[in-house]
Amino acid sequence: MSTNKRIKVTCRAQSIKELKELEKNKNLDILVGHKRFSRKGLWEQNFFEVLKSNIVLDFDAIIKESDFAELSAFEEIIRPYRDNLKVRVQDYGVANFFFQKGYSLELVLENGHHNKEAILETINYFKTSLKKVVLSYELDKSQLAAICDNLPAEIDYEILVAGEILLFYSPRKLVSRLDFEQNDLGFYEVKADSLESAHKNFKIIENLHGTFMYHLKDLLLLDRIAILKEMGINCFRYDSDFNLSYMSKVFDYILGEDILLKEIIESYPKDHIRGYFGVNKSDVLFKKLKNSHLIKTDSYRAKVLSMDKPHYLALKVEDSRGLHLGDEVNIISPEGINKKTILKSLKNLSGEEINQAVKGTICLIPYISKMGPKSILNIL
Amino acid sequence: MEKTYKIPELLSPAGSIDKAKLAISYGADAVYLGGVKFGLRAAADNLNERQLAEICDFAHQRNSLVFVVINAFPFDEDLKDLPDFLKYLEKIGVDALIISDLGAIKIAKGSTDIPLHLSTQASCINSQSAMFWKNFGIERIVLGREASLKDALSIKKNTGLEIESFIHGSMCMAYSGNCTISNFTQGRDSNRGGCAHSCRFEYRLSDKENNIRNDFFMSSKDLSGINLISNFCNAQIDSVKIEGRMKGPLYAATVTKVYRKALDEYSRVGFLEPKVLLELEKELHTFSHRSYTEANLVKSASADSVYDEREHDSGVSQVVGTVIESNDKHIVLEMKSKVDQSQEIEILTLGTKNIKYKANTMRSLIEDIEIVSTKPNQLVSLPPNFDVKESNVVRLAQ
Repeated sequence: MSTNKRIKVTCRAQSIKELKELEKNKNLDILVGHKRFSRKGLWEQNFFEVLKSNIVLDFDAIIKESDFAELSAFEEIIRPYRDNLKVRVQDYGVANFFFQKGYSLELVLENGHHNKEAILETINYFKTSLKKVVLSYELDKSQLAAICDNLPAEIDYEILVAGEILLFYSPRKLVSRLDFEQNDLGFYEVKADSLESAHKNFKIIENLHGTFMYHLKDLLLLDRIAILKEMGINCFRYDSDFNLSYMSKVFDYILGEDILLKEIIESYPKDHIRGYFGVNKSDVLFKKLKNSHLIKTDSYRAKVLSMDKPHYLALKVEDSRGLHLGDEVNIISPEGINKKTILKSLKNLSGEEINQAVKGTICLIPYISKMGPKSILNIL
Repeated sequence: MEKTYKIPELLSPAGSIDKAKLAISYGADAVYLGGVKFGLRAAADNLNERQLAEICDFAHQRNSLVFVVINAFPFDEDLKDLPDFLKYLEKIGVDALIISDLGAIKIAKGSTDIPLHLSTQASCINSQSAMFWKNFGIERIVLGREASLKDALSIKKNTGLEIESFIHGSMCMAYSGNCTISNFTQGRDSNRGGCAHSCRFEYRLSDKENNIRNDFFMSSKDLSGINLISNFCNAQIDSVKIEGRMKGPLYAATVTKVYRKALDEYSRVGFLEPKVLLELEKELHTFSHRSYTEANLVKSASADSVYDEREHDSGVSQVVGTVIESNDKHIVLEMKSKVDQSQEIEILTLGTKNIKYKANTMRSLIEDIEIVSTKPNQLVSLPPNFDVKESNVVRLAQ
């Protein structure tokens, strides 16, 4: 992917005053979200006054079937400004709706879309209407680089470099039911401390769209901007507190001005992490919870269901090749103990001697010490 | 008069080969299950290729269908093995793939002709979204649990796609695919099978005025649509889905049996008599579950859809064993837990009537002696009964 595209910063304006300040910088993509259709948007009446501005309308809420009539009515109002606007969407239904109406799109692919094929399929579907793709911050740097290598250069690619990490988005109203008071901006904001783990201080917001939970620390990748630019990413999102003097320094740094990064990072208003940028091993830990001793290979024939010391081990035969008198087998316990033996006796559940046990049946073999339920039997 | 309703397919969860057979035996029209890779239930006893072939044979011999889930969010590296796996699934006759990632969908379309169902992971809850997915060859939408039955009917009419809707089971509080609490707090990717269920934890919430509330505020009650069978049928839902691949055999058997009976009864007479409904509702309280809610099926889930208490066993009957052999000589049970002589056990048969035994009729297998108290994994025998079949679930009688 070409790396000589114009560098831009994405940020959010929540009022006309903020918008006017931000508009002075021509390298910004400014998000403006109406309360009704934007997760974070606070705009209401003033919203329609700014449609002539060069802004990105934020429509990133997930929309129910029954809400589309309202969305259609809303679209009719903004339609005269269509050629001047871009809309930012996550829900594929909302994206499809605006695509068919001829709008320029910015598509948020932050949840999932962790492979190049998924992203390319999306780009191919929306064709030239798609102006920007927002990539997932769950991708680590090597995954990002591999994906970016395969993406078309004609569109912009954005990633969050300073701001809140969204952990949870529910349509249900989970805070107001607990009798907290709304803040002056008309939504609920509380902190949540887990009483069952060490995690404290999650930010919880409830608004028209439901409930949102944010990580206790922000994502901060400002010291990785050069690497991201090298990959071909050209848009960098600032989604933290509105503080114009601080934001200006951040913007200037991203845009290539000679600003001391250390000072910017040290004065960042919140605790921060780099998330998965270094490496994403979030499915490694879980794999380790599986018992490596009990992995079933082609030699697997049966599992131990029960034992009655000193009489028998009861086995369930689970392979179509069955078990036969005289078979040489290896039994492995969940703890990893191996015992090799020859099947000198094989009985059915009525205690009758049999020559073979077929798949799906239960059979009894002489008791073997240290072997019990969940042990597996492999043929040698 | 022409019927204006549709009796949906009953789709049951199968976290293991045994549970798949159980669900089919108790009346599932179709089961959904995961292979060792590509699914979202990493902790389930997912099926290897040989087991997948076995369950396809088992299901097809009984006119049931097998759907395989490919619904984890894959990285590029994961997709390398997907074409071979999909070709194998086609060879063994898998009836549909439940899939959500566009990259995986592209590979599936290029590798096989297996029908594609959009996983609920994609949180598809509107017609425009369904039309988007239809363009990629999706034939059925598994709706997000946020869609109502009215929405479902509208989406079906607008798109011509098959619609699958959850009818029973645990619920994510978040939009599916939109929760990464596990990822960032436990290092376990919830969208790749590692969900740590942090939403079930208790939290201390505080505002700026330092008002404090302790609450399980992100934990959802369980979905139950047993009182809405007519609504599902009238909304022309093609398939009703039971959640719960991670749940035990008692759950798989009981819930499948209950909804099978409900759908059959509705098909037979066009409504559910209050007495029948009461009996079915009672059955849905015989295993451990959270309080029930109809969530978004009729109207948007409200404050009372939150399960604001600690997870606990709700004091209902528990599964104590499984029938592993039943013939004219004996019934053999594999016990899962302790049962005393003074107790009574109940075998959940495939028919309408369950069979009860006094626990003091249990005998040891080899020495044929009376058992005072069973232990987990012990094999015991009971006198024969022809209504009892292999794989029947055994629970404590109430």
